[in-house]
Amino acid sequence: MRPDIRQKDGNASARIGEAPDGRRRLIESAVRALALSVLSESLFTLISALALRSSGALIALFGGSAAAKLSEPFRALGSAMIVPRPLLPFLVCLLAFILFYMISSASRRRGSRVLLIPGVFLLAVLLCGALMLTLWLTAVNGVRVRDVALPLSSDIRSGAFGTLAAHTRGVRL
Amino acid sequence: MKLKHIGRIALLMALLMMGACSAPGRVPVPGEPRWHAGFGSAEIALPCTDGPFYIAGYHNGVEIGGVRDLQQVCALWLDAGGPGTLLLSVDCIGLGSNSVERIRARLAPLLKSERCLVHVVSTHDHAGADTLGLWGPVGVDGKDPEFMENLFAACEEAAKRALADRRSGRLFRADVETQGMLRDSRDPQIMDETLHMLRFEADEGAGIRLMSYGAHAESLRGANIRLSRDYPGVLCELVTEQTGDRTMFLPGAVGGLVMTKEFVETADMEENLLRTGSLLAGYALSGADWRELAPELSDCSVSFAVPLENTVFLYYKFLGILGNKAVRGGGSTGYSLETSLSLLRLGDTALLLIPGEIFPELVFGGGREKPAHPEIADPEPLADILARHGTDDFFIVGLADDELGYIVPPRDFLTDERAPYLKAAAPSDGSRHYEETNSVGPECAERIAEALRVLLGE
Repeated sequence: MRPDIRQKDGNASARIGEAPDGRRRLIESAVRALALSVLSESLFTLISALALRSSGALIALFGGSAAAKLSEPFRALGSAMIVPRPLLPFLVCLLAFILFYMISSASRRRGSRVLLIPGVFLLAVLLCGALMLTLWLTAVNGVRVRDVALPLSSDIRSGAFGTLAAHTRGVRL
Repeated sequence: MKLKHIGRIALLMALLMMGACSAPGRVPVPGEPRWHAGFGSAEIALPCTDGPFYIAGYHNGVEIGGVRDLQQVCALWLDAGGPGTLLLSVDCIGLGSNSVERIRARLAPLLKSERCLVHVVSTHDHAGADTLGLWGPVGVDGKDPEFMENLFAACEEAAKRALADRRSGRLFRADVETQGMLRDSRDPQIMDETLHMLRFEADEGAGIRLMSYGAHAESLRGANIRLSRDYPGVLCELVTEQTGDRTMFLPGAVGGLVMTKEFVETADMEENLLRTGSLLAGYALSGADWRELAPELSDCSVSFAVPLENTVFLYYKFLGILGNKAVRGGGSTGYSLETSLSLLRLGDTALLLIPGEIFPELVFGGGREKPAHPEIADPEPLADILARHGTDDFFIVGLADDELGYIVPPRDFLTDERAPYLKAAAPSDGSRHYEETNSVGPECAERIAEALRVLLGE
């Protein structure tokens, strides 16, 4: 009768079984990270679309006649054609979750929760970044938010909108 | 003796037949190519809603205060036995390519059995409802959705009538030089003072006249708040009254900014409108030298992109006000506007359909003595490009199939350093540079010249 190796050498059997378990855990973690990334990105897309659609009302919340006047054009975004550009923010989300898993598994190995604190912080920063990126890259009526935000901020900084009063006198086409 | 008589009679008959062939009402030879044309028009109904309902052309947020005459759509079908062309002339300030596409889509079921191209031209009416969206309160879309819907419905109705009206006949062409009618608000003083005309003489029934003139339709001027077709309406009505022909108007090279003069001393702009219309009608009916056009029609278009430099247009595009088709790439804004140029040949004449308000100097050549950028060369004049390809007789049709704003010569294109496209540049030489603020950018003129060269197979 052949001796049962598993009974004779328990440590060897654990070592043999460790590799498939690790792979499975890795695959499970990757799938979980992917699923969370998709979920987060969908959520961000929804949040940015909602933020853009309600930007008129949000600006009006600041109160005052200037805010009321400024909010008027943005109310048109309530029915605008909004197209998110999800690939880049999605990759940021994926990176965030992979980093988080790496940190949390490292914490588990060391039996310490200390590493998890900067991990959660990093995750939060990266998710906020992904949310901003989603908003930044979203196209409204065929024009990306970033392509409007950059010249707009430059126009505001240079005081060009001070001349808007002249522009309001009319568009003579 | 009898043979001699027969010979004389045969000679007489032959001479009579030759005479009949050269006379205006000659009998067509069966199988010979002929012109076919049809005309239709429809008024653009006013919306039933309370508004706000903005007047286009001058000031932001000014509501329409009455109606002088309703805006119209006129449709002209033309063919010479082969594929045809449907020209729509819409009494309005301008239509972006998105609106033109919507009109084409609406006409598609009507034209499914026809081989034709559809061109939609705006008369650049400065007394009409806002159809571009630029004249609401600043940053707010000035278009009324119901009015736009009525405009599309009127296009459909006019096209339907034009198709039903089709009949055969002869097509004629004439030019009349007008004098002292125009003023150019910016140097150089280059204007197209010619009233360009086409006349279709139907074998049966009323004829059709098409008139094109290079002046802004704004004889009612900026204080007007009554809806009207402006001088194109008065001109068309008077010519129809006098001749019985149905009439349509197309704008020419109006950039620059070219408009009709004020012909009254008082502030009565109604009188100015009537005077402008009747002066032009006088030219139209002044016994022009008409020549017949051979029944040959070709219509070709080319799409091209113009880099968008105007950040105000970009903001308006973002807010959904401007509907021109934007594509990524090109220009400092990172976007270009996709548009088209068309050349409609009728016999030995041609109509060059340009998607905006081109400065006449870009068509005929010339420029300011001391331009803003003497180191830059303007594109080759369009007339020279056409002449190189054997087309000496042509006229410009502006605001066709799109409205890109002013098309300014790059050599004299100057924007304000601090607020480009928000404020007009005011250089020390006192030259005017307002039109730049309502243009896509300095490259537009060159792109149009390039597109024409492509269209002509260069």
